[in-house]
Amino acid sequence: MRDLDTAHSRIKEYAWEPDYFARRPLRETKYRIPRRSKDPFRHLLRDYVTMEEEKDNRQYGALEDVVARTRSPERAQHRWMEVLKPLLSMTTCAEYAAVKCMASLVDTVDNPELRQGYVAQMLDEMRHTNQETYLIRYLARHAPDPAGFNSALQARSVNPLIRAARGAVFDVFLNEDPLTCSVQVQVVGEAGYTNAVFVAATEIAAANDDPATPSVFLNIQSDEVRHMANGYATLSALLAEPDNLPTLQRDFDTAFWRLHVFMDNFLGVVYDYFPKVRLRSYREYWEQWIWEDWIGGYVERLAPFGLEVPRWTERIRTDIAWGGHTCAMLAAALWPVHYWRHDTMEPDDFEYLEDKYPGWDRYYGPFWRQYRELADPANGELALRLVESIPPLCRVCHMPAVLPRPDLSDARLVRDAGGRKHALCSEPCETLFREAPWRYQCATWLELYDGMDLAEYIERLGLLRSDGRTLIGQPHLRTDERSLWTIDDIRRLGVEIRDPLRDVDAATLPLIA
Amino acid sequence: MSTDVADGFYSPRELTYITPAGRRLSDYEAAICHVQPDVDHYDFGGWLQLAPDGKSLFEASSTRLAHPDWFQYRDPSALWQRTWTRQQAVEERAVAGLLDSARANGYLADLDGFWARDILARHHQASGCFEWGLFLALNRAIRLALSDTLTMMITFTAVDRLRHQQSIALYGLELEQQLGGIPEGLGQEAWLSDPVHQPARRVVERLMAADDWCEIVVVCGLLVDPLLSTLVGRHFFRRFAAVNGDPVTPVIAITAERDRLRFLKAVRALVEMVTAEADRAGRPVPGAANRAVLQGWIDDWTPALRAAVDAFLPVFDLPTMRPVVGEEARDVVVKDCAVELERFALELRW
Repeated sequence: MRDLDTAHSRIKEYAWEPDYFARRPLRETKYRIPRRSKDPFRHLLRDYVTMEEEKDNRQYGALEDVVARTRSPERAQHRWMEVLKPLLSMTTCAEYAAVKCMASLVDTVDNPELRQGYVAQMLDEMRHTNQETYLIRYLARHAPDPAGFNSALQARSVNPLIRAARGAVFDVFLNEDPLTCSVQVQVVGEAGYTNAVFVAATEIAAANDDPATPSVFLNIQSDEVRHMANGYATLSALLAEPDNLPTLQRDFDTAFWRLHVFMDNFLGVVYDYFPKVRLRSYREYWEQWIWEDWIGGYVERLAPFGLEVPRWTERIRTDIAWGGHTCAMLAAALWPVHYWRHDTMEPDDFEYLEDKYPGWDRYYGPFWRQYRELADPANGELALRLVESIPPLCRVCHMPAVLPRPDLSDARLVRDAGGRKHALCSEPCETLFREAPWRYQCATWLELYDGMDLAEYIERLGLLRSDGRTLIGQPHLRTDERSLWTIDDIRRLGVEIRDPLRDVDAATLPLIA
Repeated sequence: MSTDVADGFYSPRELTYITPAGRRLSDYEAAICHVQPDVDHYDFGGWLQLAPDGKSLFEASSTRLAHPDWFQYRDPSALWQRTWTRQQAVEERAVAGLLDSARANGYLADLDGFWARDILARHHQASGCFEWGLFLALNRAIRLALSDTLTMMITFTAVDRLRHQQSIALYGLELEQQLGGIPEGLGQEAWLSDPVHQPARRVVERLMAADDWCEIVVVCGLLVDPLLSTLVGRHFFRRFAAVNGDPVTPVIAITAERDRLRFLKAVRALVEMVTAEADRAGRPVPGAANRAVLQGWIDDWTPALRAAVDAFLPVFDLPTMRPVVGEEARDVVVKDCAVELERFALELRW
């Protein structure tokens, strides 16, 4: 039998220090990295490809054979299937960014143990990218409503919610110091959030008669566990150099905020508004996976090394109660611009949400009651009129600047020296903006489409079904033709997309240095 | 009276955001196309945030070659993760199975002593460093590549080299354990100091430091592999091993050759794309300017490659049994490389 320890050690002995040409990494790091550390993966490629081949066979075999033959995707709860459209197009953003992130880490981190882990993770991330796009196509073929699955990676790019996923989180995975990216991806993203995504979504999917998503997600999660080990090994290596601590703490604080501001609010929408068969609320999942497991089990174990619980943790924990509901309300109000159908809430939903989030009905109940009324095109009004105005979008994270709840939000409007107006959703995002404003100059979705007629937007962005008139997005799941909104219904209403910042006089705003 | 919508709900049951290269969308295209964000495709409105140094996520200036749409690239092998993994697992099973048999049946005892203790322990193991260096060079191109289809092809190619390096390393370990008396580290020592390897090391280190991702891919695919990897891997190790009683090295070499041939086809597709007159949508491609850049790279790298090839030739004279003369092998790889370049009206000025 092969001596695995010796084999693992041997394969790492082929690197050398270049003499003929000085090699500078594509992206320098501000961290000091020890030249040797613990190998988090201890995998030979020989074993890796054998293991992954087996896992692939199990997953694709299940999808291609059993699941398709039993036509089970058709029997899944339709409301749940709708949210897989944004959910899967969001996860593909993350997986692919992580491929490039791992390549950056391999390039920058001159440490053979860590590099071995990053290479295997790079392959894993490509694997997950392919698995998720495969699932998207599979659902385009087999789900009750293919619209939105069939256009997912096009539609995600212009959708205000998923655009924020990239702005707040996933573009950061590959656009920073590679070690900062590692903190984002591995330490917070994978150790903190993948259970909340892949494990929680798996049990909800299964409860909602969707067998395809669990096949893929649990398969993915079995790789994520190893990525957490990568993150821990990277953290340990960084903490071995005391000079790294202040920088690491700052990156840690920021990473948790960035992940939170999109993921918690988005997952709140997914888990609290789309399952028909409910298991637990998002807040309960958050308490288990993020608060108890990640903060309590992972982060607090780092305290002896000087790393503290991330700066905005208490605020984040408080915001969990409302942020997802505010996002769900705004997302539903904007249903015509989505590539999924945003269902109405029924009496049992009201009861559940009030039970899990006491006070919910007072703040959100009226919206959802009227939303149900306005779901019928015969009533001639859009749910958009139920919100006073679409809030401005944060210049940094591109999330609505009203979180966690309009009356609790610390969003602020500012102007820069050039007179440009900016909405910043919170103190953390203002902190990020102040540090490097040149990094955050991209127009928000509202600025891009300000003044455009909603019907024109829908047509131009390809949000119609192939009959050329029915919208992909609908405010309900009904499929009788009379209940379906068409572009004529929208055109008749003459709604303009309007950025509230447009009406604000820049001179009245505080100047941000 | 209202009627219920038909199955399909007015929507095609196929992905609509990918323009297939062929008549129908392939599994490969569905698995990868348009996962990379791009402001010239669906991501309107500019990059959402810039890096601390002011760079965007992806920069056209990351290569001197230009193309109106890098997303049109298709890898002729059409490999995606599932099929690549399956293929590599087959290759690795072949090598591992052979090693198991060699160990069980005592094949390694038949090895020519000089071949095992000097050629394999020094030069074959040194080629592990060569493969590692190519991995590290190609890895840079993964981060920089301007489309997802190119990124995936380069990812698999880079990891292929790591697989070759590990196969070489594990065989070296096996020999040390089975034969005894072979000191550790001879391969790296040879790679770092033996004159026969220094020009090759110079080539690899320069590639490891390169910043142009297309240059890394093209130089590796059109020069380093056809000239150096083929000379060393195919003409020396594969052909010499067989006559020196070594059943394992040829299998390792053959699996590497298969990967290199796949990469060569992938690079051909890239060069064809950038030297075409127009892209698939009919937009002009600066083919002539790209060809000039390619020829510039070839001219720039050729002297270093020539030095690396010539420096390795004395190794052909060392083994006990010698099926081919080094100079003849060199002439073959140079001729094949020149023929390959002629496909694209490029010239190897040897």
